[in-house]
Amino acid sequence: MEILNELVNTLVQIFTTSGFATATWENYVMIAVSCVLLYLAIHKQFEPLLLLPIAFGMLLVNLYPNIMAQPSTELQTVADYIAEHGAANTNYAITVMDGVQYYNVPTTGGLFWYLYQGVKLGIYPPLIFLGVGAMTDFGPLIANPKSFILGAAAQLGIFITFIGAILLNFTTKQAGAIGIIGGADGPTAIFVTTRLAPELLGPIAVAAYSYMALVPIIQPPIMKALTTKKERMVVMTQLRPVSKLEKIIFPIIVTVIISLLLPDAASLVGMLMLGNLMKEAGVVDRIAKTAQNELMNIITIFLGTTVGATATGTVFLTPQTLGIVFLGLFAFCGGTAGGVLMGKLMCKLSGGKINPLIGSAGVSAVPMAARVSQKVGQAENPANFLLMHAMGPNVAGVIGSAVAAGVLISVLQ
Amino acid sequence: MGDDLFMTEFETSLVVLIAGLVIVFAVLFLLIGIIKGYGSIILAVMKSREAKRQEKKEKATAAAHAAAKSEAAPAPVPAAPAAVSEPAQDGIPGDVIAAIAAAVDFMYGAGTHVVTGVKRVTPNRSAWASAGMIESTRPF
Repeated sequence: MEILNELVNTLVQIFTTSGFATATWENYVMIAVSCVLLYLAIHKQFEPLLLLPIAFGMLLVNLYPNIMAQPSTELQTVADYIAEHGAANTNYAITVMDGVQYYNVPTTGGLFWYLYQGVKLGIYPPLIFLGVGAMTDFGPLIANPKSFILGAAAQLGIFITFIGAILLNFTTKQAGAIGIIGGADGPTAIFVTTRLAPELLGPIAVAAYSYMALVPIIQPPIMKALTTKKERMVVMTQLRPVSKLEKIIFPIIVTVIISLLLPDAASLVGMLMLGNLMKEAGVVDRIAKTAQNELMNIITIFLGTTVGATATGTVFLTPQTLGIVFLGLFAFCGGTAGGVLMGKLMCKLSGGKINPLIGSAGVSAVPMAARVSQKVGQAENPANFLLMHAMGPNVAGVIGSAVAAGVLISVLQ
Repeated sequence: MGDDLFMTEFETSLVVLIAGLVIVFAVLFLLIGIIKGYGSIILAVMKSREAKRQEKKEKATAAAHAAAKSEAAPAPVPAAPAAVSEPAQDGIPGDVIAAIAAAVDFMYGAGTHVVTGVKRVTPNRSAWASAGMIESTRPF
């Protein structure tokens, strides 16, 4: 009979510590959201490299919140501790309360908490930029430097959303961090938020990466609404070939100029250009390949899962977070619209030689935004190939959003 | 008091909006200027180098023709067609020899040389082994 009682007690104890008993309705809502994101990543293939780890991190943290638990210390009476573990190797600090001695026994944190430190300390974003740089061909931008104008115009959403966030009673620093979502650049958003509003890191990171992954859904309606069929059908002339020397000089010059003008953007732009120089120099192929593949993939896994793991139900389903998500979407749409409108202006000024659709690629999201320009352009004119033309504003957008980040940090910090 | 704070924050946000856009555009315009500048310099340098190389090539061709005329003998130049006319050399098909002769011609300039023979060399290691060796012994 006693054995049966023990068994029942054990089962009850397992149930009370299980997710069924501890999870709240918010957790279940977030589990449903993560399943939708997993569906979009796997079935619809919306940037699965980003969306899948984010969604799975979200799922895991809502099933087992302690996976993000930070390490702490637990008070245990000295007598109890020695009875359990023996007296050897106990050099923990002792606290005395009511005449009883307690050891301050450290407890380990959850797996994701440790991995999250790379996000929190702003280590992953520059490393991601190193990999992005090693994978990026700045040739289209060098061949057509006017693309920088589109990359700059697409940052419009950042600054307009900044005002929107102020109107919604966020502080100036928080507003700066929210606005940067409009750059459609996850690493930059994380980097700025760690410096301006670390308390909003979770929602901002989730919003930034989710919108990056949802570029194929968000951008096309805006692009179509702001352009005419005739403009979308514009065929652009082929870009000039770019010499190797130009490609090697480019990252060095950009690093020097931006680091001198905006030191706060130096770590992002510097790593981006280091990666690119490694690729273009052609003398460190092994390192360049590591940055492009192994390093980039490892950091993407860590970043994706831990960013997803910040979206716990209790933290995420609050009016403030929903406000951030809404403002982020507004910023992203504003950036897309800014790029397309500047593209229209350039189309007019160039006498119809520039297809305004490439302007939407001025939001960073490389290379998804450029692929969207190509897809929307080809839907109107199957013989039109805008991809390489859109890559110019796309990579200009990466530099543009890093510059915007530098401006926000230097003005608001 | 709350209204004052809001107005201050709103003014700050307008300053950030204007300053931000102006700085982003200014920095990127500066980059446009610099890229265009160094791009045109590099293109000009490359064009002049190309022109010089072309000039040298033409001079060499002219010299070879002059030498051939002065000897008043039928010159074996160009080599590639001669090689092609051979059915096979060392078991190598004629079209492969023609391709090799054309590659040599392209590298060293037409009329500056004569391909007298093509010999098959047995490699010490396979192509995969060579690629592996190069990959793992290349210095940092």
